Amino acid sequence: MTLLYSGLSLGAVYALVALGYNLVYLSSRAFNFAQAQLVMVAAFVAYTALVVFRLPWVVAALLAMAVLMVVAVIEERIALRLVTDHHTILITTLGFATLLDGAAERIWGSEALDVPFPGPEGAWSLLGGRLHTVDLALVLLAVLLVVGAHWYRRRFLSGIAIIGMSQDREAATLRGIDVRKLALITFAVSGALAGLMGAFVGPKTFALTTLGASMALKGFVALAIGGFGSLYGGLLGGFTVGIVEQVSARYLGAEFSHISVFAVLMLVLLVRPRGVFGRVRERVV
Amino acid sequence: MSARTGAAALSAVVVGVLALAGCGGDAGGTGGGDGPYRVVVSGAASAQGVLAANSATSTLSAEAAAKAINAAGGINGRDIELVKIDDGGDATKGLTALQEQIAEAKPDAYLNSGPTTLSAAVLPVLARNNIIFMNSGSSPEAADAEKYPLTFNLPTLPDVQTKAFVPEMEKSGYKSVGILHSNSPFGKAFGDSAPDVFAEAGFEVTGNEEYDGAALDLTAQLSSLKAGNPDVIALNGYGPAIGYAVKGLQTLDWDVPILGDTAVASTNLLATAPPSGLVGSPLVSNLKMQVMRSTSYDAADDRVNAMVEAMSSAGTIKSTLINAWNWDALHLIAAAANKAGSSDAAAIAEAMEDPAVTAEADTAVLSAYNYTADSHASQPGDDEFVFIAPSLLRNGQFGNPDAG
Repeated sequence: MTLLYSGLSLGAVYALVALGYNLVYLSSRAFNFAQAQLVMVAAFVAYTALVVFRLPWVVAALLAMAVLMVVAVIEERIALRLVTDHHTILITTLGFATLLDGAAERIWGSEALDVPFPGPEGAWSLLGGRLHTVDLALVLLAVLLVVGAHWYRRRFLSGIAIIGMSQDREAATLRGIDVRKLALITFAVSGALAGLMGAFVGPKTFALTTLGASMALKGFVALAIGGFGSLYGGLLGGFTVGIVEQVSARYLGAEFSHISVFAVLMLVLLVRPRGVFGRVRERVV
Repeated sequence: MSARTGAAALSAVVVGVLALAGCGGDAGGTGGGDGPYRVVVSGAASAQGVLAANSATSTLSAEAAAKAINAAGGINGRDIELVKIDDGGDATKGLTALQEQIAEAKPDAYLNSGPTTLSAAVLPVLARNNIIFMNSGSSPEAADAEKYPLTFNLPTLPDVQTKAFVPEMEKSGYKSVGILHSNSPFGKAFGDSAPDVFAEAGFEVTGNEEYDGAALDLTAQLSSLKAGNPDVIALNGYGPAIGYAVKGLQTLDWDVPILGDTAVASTNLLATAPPSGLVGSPLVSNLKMQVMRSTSYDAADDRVNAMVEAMSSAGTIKSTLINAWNWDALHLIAAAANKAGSSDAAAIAEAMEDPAVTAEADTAVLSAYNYTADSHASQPGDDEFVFIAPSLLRNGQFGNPDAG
């Protein structure tokens, strides 16, 4: 059971990154390679707020959300807005990710920094397994954010507009939707959520400059397993990657951990090329 | 032109050509003779983070040593002239900078600040140019005395450090051990050598688990080791992995003792107080880490304290003294030159192969190197390593009561 908890907790980290990828993908049809780096920067911001300025955890999380929202808007302005080709956006967001890695190392150094988390210290027992408070919090956060994002998309006009925009940008424009403004807002929201995620992820992983690189690939795999554009798919994919990684490391050895994850990915793509929840869109000519 | 004038002109030309030929034997001339003893110190000045801090300590140790040796008469009467070059931690950049120095004026000796990739890159160039190389990026190849007679490793190779676990494990009465190591080259070397070393010493090896250096959770590997129920875990790793390991043990409710290697001791989390570090935290109450004796504060150790005083008066010591190899490097050269009565590279190298010479040198990071004519690997005794609890750093040392 403990192994399952650690797999779910690790999977929640990947699922949160996948959620960030999905939000941008749904609004802009673009893949933001810097999403994991935004979470990494958020972990450092949370560390600074909690340890250096000794702010309460909630204030630190809000501060991280505000800072990362600004960073995400800057990214949208310089790495997306100026680029028209979606393939080029892969390069520009990757460049922005590298920029964030360098800036984080310059500001906070390359050593791991412990980020405090509220709640009881140490691990505790639950249903025959053991876990830390932050492990449970990560799983709950991932589920709540995905359910919330899905609910918002279905219930609010702007959410429906995002769906329309993701399906046909030109048609959405003709219907009076300001796609540029909506894309910017979605990017800002994804940045704010990355800020919130950083305040949860940092206490589990420490704040460190290699965190973005560690999360980016597995977050992408989670997305591919679940299906690009599917919020629930990203969640399922994240948990799958986390559990497969932990179980294979335990019973097959760490050298089989990555292989097992990619074997599952290949298996899913062979059976469902668009991922478990991915949809095939037919186009009428 | 008369015959006499023609002969004089021809003689002048011949003498000139011979003189030029004499200078042309070595690229850019040599620092030999009565001039200063020219030592190139390569460091990652333009790097960032840990690499920069380690490099700063390495360079500072060279500066402090040069000052101390020059005050005592220099290398066989020649003052040391340090030439600092910036390799940025990059092998290509470091090699280019060295070649520029050789073209300008061939150095007598070359010191670096660690990366094995840089050491591997400069090794053949230094050998070809007959330059003494005191190597902070040790490798088995560089220890081959026949192939590289002028190169000497300063840090020990991984197997020496692994063997130093045995006395500590015997002292604590452990009978079985589980091994947890990273997939870095150093970690793999530890994972390859440790099972044999421990088994030969009579310990039961209950498990040997590897983890990816980019992993974010080590609960699975620790769970595997727990199934073997070892008395102690021998841990290799650096940085956040150490935090994941101790958190994983807490998750598994397993209070097994941990003995970490020298890489573990280089982790900043274990030299920083909470909330940003783990010193004094219950998470590390079962952890001891392997350090060289010089890195653990001892008020009675005059040699080490002299080095610390010399270095701290020359600048700030930004990392542990495990990076202060260049202090020992220059003192080894000075002792060997004094023994040989010459500052010639071959004579210094031959003298350095006498263990009595290196034992008498005023080295501090290690008290003896024990080079031989067959091997230029650093081979100190087991007592050069100690296992200590994590503590705050002061002047590059653990356990200093003034550290707070």
